[in-house]
Amino acid sequence: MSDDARDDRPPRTTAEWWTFAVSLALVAGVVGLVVLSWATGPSGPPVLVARPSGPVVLEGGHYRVPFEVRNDGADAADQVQVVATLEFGGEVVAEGEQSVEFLSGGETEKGAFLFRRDPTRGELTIDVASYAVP
Amino acid sequence: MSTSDHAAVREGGWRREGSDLVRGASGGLLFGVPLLYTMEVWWYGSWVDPRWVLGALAVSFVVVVGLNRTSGFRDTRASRWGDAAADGVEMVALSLVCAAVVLVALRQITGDTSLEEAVGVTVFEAIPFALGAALSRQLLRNVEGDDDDDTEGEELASEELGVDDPAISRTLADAGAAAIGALVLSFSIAPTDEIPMLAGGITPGWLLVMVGLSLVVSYAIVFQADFRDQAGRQTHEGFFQRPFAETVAAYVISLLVAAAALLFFQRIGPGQSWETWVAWTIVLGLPASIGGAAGRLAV
Repeated sequence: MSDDARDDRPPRTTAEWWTFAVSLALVAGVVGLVVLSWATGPSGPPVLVARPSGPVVLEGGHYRVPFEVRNDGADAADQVQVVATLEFGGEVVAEGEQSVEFLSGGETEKGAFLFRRDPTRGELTIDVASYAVP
Repeated sequence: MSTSDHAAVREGGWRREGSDLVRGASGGLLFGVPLLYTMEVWWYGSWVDPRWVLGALAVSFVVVVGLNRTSGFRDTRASRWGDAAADGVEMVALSLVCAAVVLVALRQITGDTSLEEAVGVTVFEAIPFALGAALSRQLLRNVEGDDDDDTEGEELASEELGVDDPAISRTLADAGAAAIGALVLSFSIAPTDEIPMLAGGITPGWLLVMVGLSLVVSYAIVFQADFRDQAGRQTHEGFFQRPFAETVAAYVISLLVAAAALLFFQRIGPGQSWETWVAWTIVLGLPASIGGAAGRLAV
């Protein structure tokens, strides 16, 4: 078969028209969603919230404090630093640090801090210290 | 072939359309899979400005329409701009669907992902898919009247391998080609951090989905996309030539190659649990099996 014969494309079949119609609807839908998020979507810096997310468990000699860090803002944040401080009687006895590589708007990541002393007896603070703009 | 013959052939309707779509999807997967295993693209899609997403869609559509004039995914070339544009819309839609399916299988799009982020990631991952789909006829086209060459190839393979039985030589040639194809894609992805990241986020149930997806994609590329010598392949003799057996055997070879690539880069080793070995190998097995399918088309 020569390539010239291939060029001579006959009119589209019913199946091709159906595929085209479905494809057009799908692409239009995606474009519509993007336009919608452009028009209505919130925009602004990341708003990062870190907090304990479950009960403290003693395991393998460590008290495990699960935490979650959530981005309530619109823009994404890179290298989010979560810092935990454990104080007893106003004195810092343990500190932990955890970096979350990437957190987009509305996303939640989970992790855990490990302490040798029982954090429920002292004063535990979990907070976000810094982030980078991607 | 005359125009009337052509019209008669094209009345194959849905069957032909399905074959065209599978060809486009297969070409897209061959091109698009390496980018799907790139975490920067997952992140990029989630913070990029919506206007940039629209621009990316528009640019890829224009490029795809241009490629359709010379290649495309159908068995006939789109000589009119109208046809090229209509095919372009279908290709962009097809690549969006393919990218979304693989992203869901890789758990990069889950129930927790915001709609905006899912759309952004899918669009950027879909661009190489669309380019691959637009080149699919040109890259791996169905070579008609190629039977003579093929017989020569078989004889050549028999001589090179020192095996008299053409069925056995054909089987060895296909197994070797699957291994080489799998090796090319595995080695470029095995050393990256995406494999542990993906494997860590995937539950056993989703690993099974990945196994199924790998098998379906590899079967579609070799036996349904109507690339090179499909009719010939379906009738070849020898164990490796029955479509189902060949697909499963090629997948096993791809998994072995994927595991070997991970071992080579010391990503897995004696220190890890067997669950880790299995999960990582299956995650790398998807691109490996796509490479294996492309390799078998090349022999």
